[in-house]
Amino acid sequence: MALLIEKLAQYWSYPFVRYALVVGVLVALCSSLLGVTLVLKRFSFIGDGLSHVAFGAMSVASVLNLTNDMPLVMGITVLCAILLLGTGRNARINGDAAMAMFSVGALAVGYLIMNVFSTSANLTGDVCTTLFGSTSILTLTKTKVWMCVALSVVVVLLYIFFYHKIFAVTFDESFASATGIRAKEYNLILAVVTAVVIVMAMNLVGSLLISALVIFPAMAAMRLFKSFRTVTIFAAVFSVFCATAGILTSILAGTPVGATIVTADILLFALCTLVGWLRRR
Amino acid sequence: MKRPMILLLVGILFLTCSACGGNEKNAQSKEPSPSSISQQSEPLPMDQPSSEPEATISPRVSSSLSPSQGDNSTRDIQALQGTASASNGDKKKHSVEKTKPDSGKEAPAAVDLDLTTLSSTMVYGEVFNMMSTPDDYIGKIIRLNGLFTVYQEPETGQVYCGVIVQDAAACCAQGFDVVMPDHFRYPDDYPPTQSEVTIVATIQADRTLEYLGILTLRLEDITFEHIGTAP
Repeated sequence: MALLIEKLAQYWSYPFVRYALVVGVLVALCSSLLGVTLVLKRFSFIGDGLSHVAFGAMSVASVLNLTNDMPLVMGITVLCAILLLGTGRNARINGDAAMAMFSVGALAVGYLIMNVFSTSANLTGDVCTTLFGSTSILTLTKTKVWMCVALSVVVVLLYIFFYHKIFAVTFDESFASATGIRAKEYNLILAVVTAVVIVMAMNLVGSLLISALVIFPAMAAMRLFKSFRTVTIFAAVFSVFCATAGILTSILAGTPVGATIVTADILLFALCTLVGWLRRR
Repeated sequence: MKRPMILLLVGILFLTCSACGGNEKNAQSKEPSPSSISQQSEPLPMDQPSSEPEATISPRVSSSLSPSQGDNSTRDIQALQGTASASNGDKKKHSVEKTKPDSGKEAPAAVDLDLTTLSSTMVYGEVFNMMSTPDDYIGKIIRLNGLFTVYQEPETGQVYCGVIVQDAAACCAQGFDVVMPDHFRYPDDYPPTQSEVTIVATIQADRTLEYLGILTLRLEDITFEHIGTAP
């Protein structure tokens, strides 16, 4: 144990470890807040769909040799999120079909672009890093960290200030509209915030594993708690705990960061399910 | 709802600011580093002594000297003498017999950057930093392990060497150009290609190879601490 603490203390002196923890915690917090709403609105898979769109955008950015790909990736992902979530149920192609089309379409086109136009010597590595996050969380610059901090503050503040409206829109959109809440606008805000979180989370767990950050903490909290508020708070706590544990474990044991965080989420979900089952008996 | 969320947010932001704030270089220089007495400009954070036993440095001397004649056991090369690091200084007192031609230069005074004590995830992060901010690392003495690779140009006969450092995901390995000592003759004095080696070397850069602002790092004044067998 003393050896582990000594090792952690040694690793803490590396700036990139501190950056990884900061970004990991913030992304986990934001994704779990949104996760409760998305799971209840039956949009659990939106994370996967949008992250594939972000992958496609990222491949375009890399082919264009953009030094800062964030604006382009964010812009395209937000646009797709608005198209997917903002149009509601009146779209000609319904939600899950549209999401699937965006998801696989962007993934295929992104990979195709990277293969045909990429100048990188390590295409497999680039794709692997983007899809699984692998260790890209350890390569963040200070600018990216501050950008992530700023975006996270905006996301959390939006969630706090529009909490009641989000609550109403989450459970019954029609009723919310009938009571004067502009449901479409709040759906739009949700869509934009979801896209922002997805793009931030791509650094942490990669585009294939983002859904885990959205779904597992919310589902784990739902195993134990019933009210929307407690579920939201505990989803955030669970998610932050799993992200911290996952990052620390991965740097100590040398395992891939994203996969380790998701495994921590799965274990916590299993534990919460067991506790919930025992409480009901 | 707002109150607990704001408290949570404030707590996380506090942690964020305390982690991001400050000059990391200053923070690094405050690290206790008994093993590193480097006179380089900015000490790196991995100067601490290894708490793990250095299995690759042992008093045992292999009778097989030529890499091409390698037996199945690991061959230990006692090329580093005395002062490589305080943590393994005692062990090195036993390593007095040179069994392989070394670089022919003075053994490095201290290792600034010991990648062998880091987990593979950390190694990836650190090597990425070296590639992205090479100027911070030039002149540092590094210890690392990886796969030794050799390529001989068929037309000119020129031999190029490198050490590939694997990462945790095994997809994003990064390599260093290695400059072998002048008196090493290929292939007799070279480790077998694809063998795992532990080396101590000085990081240098060839500015003539700078391309699009990217500087290629290479390892010079190389000393082999350990040479494994080829797969």
